[in-house]
Amino acid sequence: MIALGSIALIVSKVRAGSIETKLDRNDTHTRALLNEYLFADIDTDDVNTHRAEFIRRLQPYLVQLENGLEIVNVSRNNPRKRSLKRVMLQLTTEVIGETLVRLTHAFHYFGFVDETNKSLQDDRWWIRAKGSKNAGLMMNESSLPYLEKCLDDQNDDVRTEAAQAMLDIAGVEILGPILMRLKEMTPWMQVRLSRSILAFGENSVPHLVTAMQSKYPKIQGFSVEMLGILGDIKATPTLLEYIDYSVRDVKHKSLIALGRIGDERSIPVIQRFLFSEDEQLRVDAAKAAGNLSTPSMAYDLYWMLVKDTLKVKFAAAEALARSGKLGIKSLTYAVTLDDAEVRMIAMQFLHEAGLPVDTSTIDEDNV
Amino acid sequence: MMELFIEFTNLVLNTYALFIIGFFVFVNVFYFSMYAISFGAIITYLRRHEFCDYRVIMQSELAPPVSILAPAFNESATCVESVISLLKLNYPTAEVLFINDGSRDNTLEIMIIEFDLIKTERAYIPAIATKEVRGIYVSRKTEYRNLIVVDKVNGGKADALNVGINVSRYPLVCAIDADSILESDALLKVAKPFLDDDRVIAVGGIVRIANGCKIERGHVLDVRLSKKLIPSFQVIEYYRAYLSGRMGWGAINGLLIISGAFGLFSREIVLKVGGYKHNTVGEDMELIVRMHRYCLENNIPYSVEFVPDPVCWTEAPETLKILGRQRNRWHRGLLDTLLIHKKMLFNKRYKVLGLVSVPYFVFIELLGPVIEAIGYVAVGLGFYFGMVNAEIFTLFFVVSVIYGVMFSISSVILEEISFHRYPRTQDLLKLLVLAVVENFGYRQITVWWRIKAFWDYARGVQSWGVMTRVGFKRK
Amino acid sequence: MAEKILVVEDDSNIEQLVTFKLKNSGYEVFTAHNGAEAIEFLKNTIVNLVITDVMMPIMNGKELVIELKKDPKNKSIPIIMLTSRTLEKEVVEGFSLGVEDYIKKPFSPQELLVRVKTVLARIKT
Repeated sequence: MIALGSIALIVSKVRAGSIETKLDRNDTHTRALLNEYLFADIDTDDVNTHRAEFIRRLQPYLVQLENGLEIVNVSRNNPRKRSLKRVMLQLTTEVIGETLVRLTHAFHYFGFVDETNKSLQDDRWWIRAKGSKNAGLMMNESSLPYLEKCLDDQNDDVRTEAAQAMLDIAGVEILGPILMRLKEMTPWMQVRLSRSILAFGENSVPHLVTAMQSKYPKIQGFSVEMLGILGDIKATPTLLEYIDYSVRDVKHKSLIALGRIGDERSIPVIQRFLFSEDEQLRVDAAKAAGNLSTPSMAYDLYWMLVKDTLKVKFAAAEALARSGKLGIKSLTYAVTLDDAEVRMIAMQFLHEAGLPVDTSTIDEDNV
Repeated sequence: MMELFIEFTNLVLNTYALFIIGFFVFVNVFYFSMYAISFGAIITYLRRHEFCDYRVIMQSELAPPVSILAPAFNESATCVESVISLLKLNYPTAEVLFINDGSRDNTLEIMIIEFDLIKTERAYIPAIATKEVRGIYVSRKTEYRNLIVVDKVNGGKADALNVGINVSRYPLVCAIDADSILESDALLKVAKPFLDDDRVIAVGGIVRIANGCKIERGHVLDVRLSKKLIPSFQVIEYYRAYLSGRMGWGAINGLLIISGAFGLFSREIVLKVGGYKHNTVGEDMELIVRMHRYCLENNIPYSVEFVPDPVCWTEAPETLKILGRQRNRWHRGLLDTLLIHKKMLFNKRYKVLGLVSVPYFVFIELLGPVIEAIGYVAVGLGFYFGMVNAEIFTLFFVVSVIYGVMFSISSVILEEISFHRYPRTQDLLKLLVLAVVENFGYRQITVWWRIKAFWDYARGVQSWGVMTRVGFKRK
Repeated sequence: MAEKILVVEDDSNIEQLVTFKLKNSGYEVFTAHNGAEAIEFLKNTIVNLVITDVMMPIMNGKELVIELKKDPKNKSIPIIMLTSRTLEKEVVEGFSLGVEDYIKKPFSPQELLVRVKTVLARIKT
């Protein structure tokens, strides 16, 4: 049995080697023919306005590609057809513009879109997940209804790939509906979607604001985080409105987002959270205060540095170092206190801010 | 009188033989289930791998930042090159903390000159008590802005890592050995499980043996099997341990070891458990066990994951003497960790860990060599007194060798169907032959080293300090 | 005589695509699969332009640019980076290394051609 296993292994190894070289050669040939089609010289000024006409003119080149690869009327598992699909899928993530239009049309022409839509209804999760990914790459609107069903899938990966594919196909307009439909988001899904959302830029802001009304904390949290990264002050009122009604994790993310957006309207709320019962939220509020670089909270921050827990002291000192002249003055004063811990922290942040500790300039009335 | 003695010995030997056979069957059934679990887990991993492109992390603002902790003791020959390759790893936000653990050579001076370092103040909370930090340095050059060099009083590897954890600012910390060679996508691959599930607290990766491979500028270019026998045996051992062992443990959330050569941890949990313990030789295993315990005792839902993709390469010992020392230390570390956490054994409170992982490590990993050695002695005695039935003995021996070979070969097969890193057919052939040869001689030597570890452990309880430093110069 | 362009790219799809497009437009195109191969190639050949990817094995695009800018013979060759590393800090870093242009992947081959033409024209004047 062992001997058999070993022999099988060796044979498969040798065969795998030869298959690989063959695949490589196949793909090179495919790419050469595909490039002929992708760059065939036709009048391209009107791709967007006269799409139908453009696609009609592409037709002869598609036929030429099909003939060149000898894939007329072959089964879908024909190696040359596989090779074409593989190369096209790889290319579609790399190009945009007119070349991409040609690629997406070719996906449709060769029946790859129908094949993918079928796989979205498969019983096996990995086939559905891969299908979702391919559907996104092929950019064909006929996949949308199937993808929408996949948003409720049991499997994390299927949901992630489906949501991403929908954004790829339908653009920012579908962002709101997707977020309102989802119940759960893994960090991985957030990483995937964040790229598209940031690429849409301020166009995603209204959708993210809508999604803050979602019942599910994960979705709220993600929307808040994205709004913070986008840094659009249009989001401030909604963030301030919702912060008191949300769960702790969303509060945490909201404070970070408010800090990143840096809108002065959020000062009273941040200031209120400096006195939160929750240590983590005090830390977040202190950080947000630091990001706002305003002297208006320096007094509160100073007392946090003196009286609060170590973790909060630390955040408060960091915020003070960024809170203008008054902040620096408070830190400098803290260096003269009796409490060794406070002295050390204040000193560290003065150093880190590149300021020499000079206690001679302290004007005690100001602190 | 003599007859009575022989009869008594006979009884003992027979009982032991029964015990051995029972143990043997149990162990093999266990191994087989582990292999099956690993196999399933690898298939799932490969399926996901097909459509989850971890490189997306590279372009994301949401990727959790990573602090890489590289402790160094007398590494003047290699420190510059390894730091440069760490700085070049693919990851959106990462800082490299090089911790000079009071080197007696000119490691620090070389680093200062080579990276144009200046002393700086960096605010941090000394959450874990450590030896004194003498200074923190950063580079004046912008291309090295992610490098932080910490100079501290010598305190051993665990202490150096603890300093690193204190000074680091990012939510994930990555502990590596000074001589680990990381693949350029290593961080992306091990960070992925943290994204798949926010309960993940630690991730380990596969460590591969680099002997015989062509290495240039910190990259493994050409994967080859070493021409020497000793490293090649270890290749098979590593396959067994990682692919059909840890992969399965990871799948049932009972992974007890993440190699000190490469692991990624949640900084928050590491801080909560108090960092590495510095008076043990098995600090890497001990930390993981403590993290498990912390989460279980506080009812925090968590998971410890294992990534089967080959991400980290290490130079394996090439001589029996050094290998023996390494194995001796590993076994002492195992013994020490299990003694520290002995209350977990068969404790329902610790779920999979208490009921499966810890018993496995105690009875199979820790005591296995002892049982095996007693078996060898018993067979010797039996032959001497003419009490062993040669046929039955031969049968048993052949069966046990075949089982051993089968597991080794299964691991090689698992590697070949999943990641096939050895491109040359002759390397694969050689591995298969070695899987057989290994059972005659090499295996017995490793048993001897591990038994000796018990003796050294009992004798060396007072001499921790010396041992810690040996632990540092791993390999 | 046609202007010479060296394309440094480890992904054969893009390599073949870019090569095709540029050759179609009358340039003489050479290829290398990583920075080290590119350096080796440039020892014996002079080109008018280098188009390079960033993430490549052995020697990446950033290292290649640093190497080329160090070398008095090659430091005047204009370089276009073609890369999917699009975080702002990456782009800034690319320009600070002294590259002529930075094209984000996914890219439009038509736009690439226009940028190549612009860079070559700018160098001539």
